Amino acid sequence: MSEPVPVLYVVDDDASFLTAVSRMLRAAGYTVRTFPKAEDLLAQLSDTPGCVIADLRMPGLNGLDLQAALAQHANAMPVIFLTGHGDIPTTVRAMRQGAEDFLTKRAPKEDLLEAVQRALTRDARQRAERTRLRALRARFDALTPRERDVLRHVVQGRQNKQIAADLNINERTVKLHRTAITTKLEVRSVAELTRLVQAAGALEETLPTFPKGQ
Amino acid sequence: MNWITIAWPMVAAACLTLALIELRIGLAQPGRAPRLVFAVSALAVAAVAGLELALMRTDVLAEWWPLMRLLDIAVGVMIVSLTVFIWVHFGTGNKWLALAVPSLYAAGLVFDYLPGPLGSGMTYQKFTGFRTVETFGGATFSVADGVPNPWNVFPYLAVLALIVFVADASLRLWRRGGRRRAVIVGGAVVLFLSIGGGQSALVETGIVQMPYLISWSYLCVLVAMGHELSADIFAAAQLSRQLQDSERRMDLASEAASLGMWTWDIVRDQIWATSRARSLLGFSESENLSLSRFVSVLHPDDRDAVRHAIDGSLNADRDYEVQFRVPLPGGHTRWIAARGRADRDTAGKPVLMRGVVLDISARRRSELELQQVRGQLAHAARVSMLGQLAAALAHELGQPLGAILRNAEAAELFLQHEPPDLDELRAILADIRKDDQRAGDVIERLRSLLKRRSIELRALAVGDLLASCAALTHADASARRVKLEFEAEPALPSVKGDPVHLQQVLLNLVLNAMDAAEGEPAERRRVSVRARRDGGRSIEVAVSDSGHGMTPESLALVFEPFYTTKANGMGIGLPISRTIIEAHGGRIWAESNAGRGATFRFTLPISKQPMAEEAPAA
Repeated sequence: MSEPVPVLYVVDDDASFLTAVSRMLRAAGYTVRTFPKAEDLLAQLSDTPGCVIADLRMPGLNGLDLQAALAQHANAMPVIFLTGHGDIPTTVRAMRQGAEDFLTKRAPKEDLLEAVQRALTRDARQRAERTRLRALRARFDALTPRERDVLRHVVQGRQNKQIAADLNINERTVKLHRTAITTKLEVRSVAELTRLVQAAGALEETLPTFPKGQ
Repeated sequence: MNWITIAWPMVAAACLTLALIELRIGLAQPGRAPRLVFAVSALAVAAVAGLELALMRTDVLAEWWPLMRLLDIAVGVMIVSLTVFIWVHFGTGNKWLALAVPSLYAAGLVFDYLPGPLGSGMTYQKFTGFRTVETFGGATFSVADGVPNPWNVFPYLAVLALIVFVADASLRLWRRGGRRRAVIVGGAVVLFLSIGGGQSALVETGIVQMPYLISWSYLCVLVAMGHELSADIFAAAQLSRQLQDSERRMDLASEAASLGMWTWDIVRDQIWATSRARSLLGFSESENLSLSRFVSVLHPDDRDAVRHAIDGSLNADRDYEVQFRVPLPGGHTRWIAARGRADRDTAGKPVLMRGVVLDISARRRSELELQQVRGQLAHAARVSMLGQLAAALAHELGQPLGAILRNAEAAELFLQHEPPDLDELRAILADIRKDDQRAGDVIERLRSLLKRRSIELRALAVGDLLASCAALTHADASARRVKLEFEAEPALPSVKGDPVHLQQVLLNLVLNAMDAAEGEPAERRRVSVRARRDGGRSIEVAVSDSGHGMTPESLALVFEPFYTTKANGMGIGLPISRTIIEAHGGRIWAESNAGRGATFRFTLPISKQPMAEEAPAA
């Protein structure tokens, strides 16, 4: 991979635990950066791959606050929570927000390392996905507004004649737009076009609105 | 032999008897001058009786004159002694009248001894002869005939002055409340003087043919004084009965109350004690006791307190009141409460101390038991409070333990490196030791709070108290997202307190405050603990929260047992806190904040002794 080395961001208000856990992760071969406060991490976020290992209970921003803030960020890294003891409501909420893992502070090293590995794998996957979607968005961005109107109708499975009537344009013009769309999006069939639009679901706001439930 | 020769000696004997009785009483008891003076008057009357009889039996002028002179002297002694008697016995007589009596009589008496026609006699100026008069029962007596001396008005004036003097003194005595004595004694004396004086005048002026009856009229006084005497005897008998009664009641009371009584003669340093007092203090019946002997049987720790109490009583005129221990053979201890008071001489110097001792071992035992029960309750409350903190404390303990584990794991990994990073390994070991110490501290804090022990007061820094409370609660506070602040004024003096029990109070208040603050949105949850000086004698600790506050009703009731506003509260935390604070000599109360929430405050007395340097923890 040409990707840079992943970094583990460790956040804990307990200095002694922060040192110990980062020391172990370094010994296991990882690149580690430590933060005594969640606020410090958020202020220094870059686009490098990696994952966050955070204490759930901290003064100021706690683990869940950090997770929520990260989700809003372009580099939404997975979060592994470490806690002295986890109560059920907190765990459920963390998991629902997409926590990679939830471990006690005294969990075996193997569990922690496995969780880190899983998180890094997930980060890599999400990162690749984000790259692909960004490329996709670039292709859709090339469409003219009129072409997008036509595309919306096409993916709904409407005939050229119906589209021409709806948009109040010539049927030949519709055909020309369709050719331009397939060329710009590099697809050969309507089926492939529909799949591509679905895959780019994250780009909904830039696309013609899909009917609900599709 | 006729009845006259029997009657007059009888009167003389009666007077003599009374005189001897009064003389006996007067000599036996100091401060009984009236008795002595009265005895003199009775003796004089006995003499008068004898002279009267002798005068009746004589018809020879050479015998008659000396007898008359003697009679005049005897009457004089009688009149003067009666004057003095009333003066000292009543204490209300008029001085001038009292002085007039002997002066007037002496003026009359002079005529008995003057030469020439004037000096023929106080009573008669000229003697004419004797007459024999027959009276009841055929008894005969002789009567002198003569010309009365016009100067014999002096003795009559003396008698008159005496009558006025006695009447005046009686009246004053009556007004002062001495009614019985005024009527009986005063009345009898006036009656005697009137009869005696009047009859003498009649005899001397020759109006009646009778012997002198001065001694007979004195019988009035005899009866009155006899009555006085018997009243005194009755009163003394009653007093003695009352005294006996009172003594028996005292015995009964002291027996029932198990009181031992003692008296300490300060001047001779001798202690008298009842057998109960002796047995309570462990002395034998016959042992001679002194102050130092008494102090020697006390528990060594109590001796100074007892000496101090005695000094306070002697010098500052306080009641002597102290409790002390007497060690008994066999290792037991008897608790004694002692009370007493000093008697002082006229100069105010203490000469005697009287008091009681009482065995209060049983009371002390039940007090101790009560204290133990309180201690157990406080302990139970402490354990239950630590239960509330358990989750936070587990977290507290989890931190160092987690760090130790991670460090150990890191060390294992570093050891696999080639070559192993020894500096890193050394740093790891140092960190492990540090975290172990941290975990140990948490456990030690818990253990000291879980231990069951009674309150032991010693000098204690309030800052340490706050710091220790902060260590116990910060994890819980951060879990509950409460901003918890501790702040102690700089250079606070130490207080007198028990660290564990005070920690319990502070923890209780802080946990309650956090409960109250938790009802608020996270950014408004604040609890602050502040310690500051409160005047020169105490330190105040205030725990404020930003909760919803308290109703006036709650403020009044929070310290009552079983009152609670929490769903799962027991209502024992604050009552126990109050017991603890009051046992420290402080005060605890609650108030509503001007803005939001409530503040609980307690005070602790400042320790007079400097803080003992604590040995560093091993």
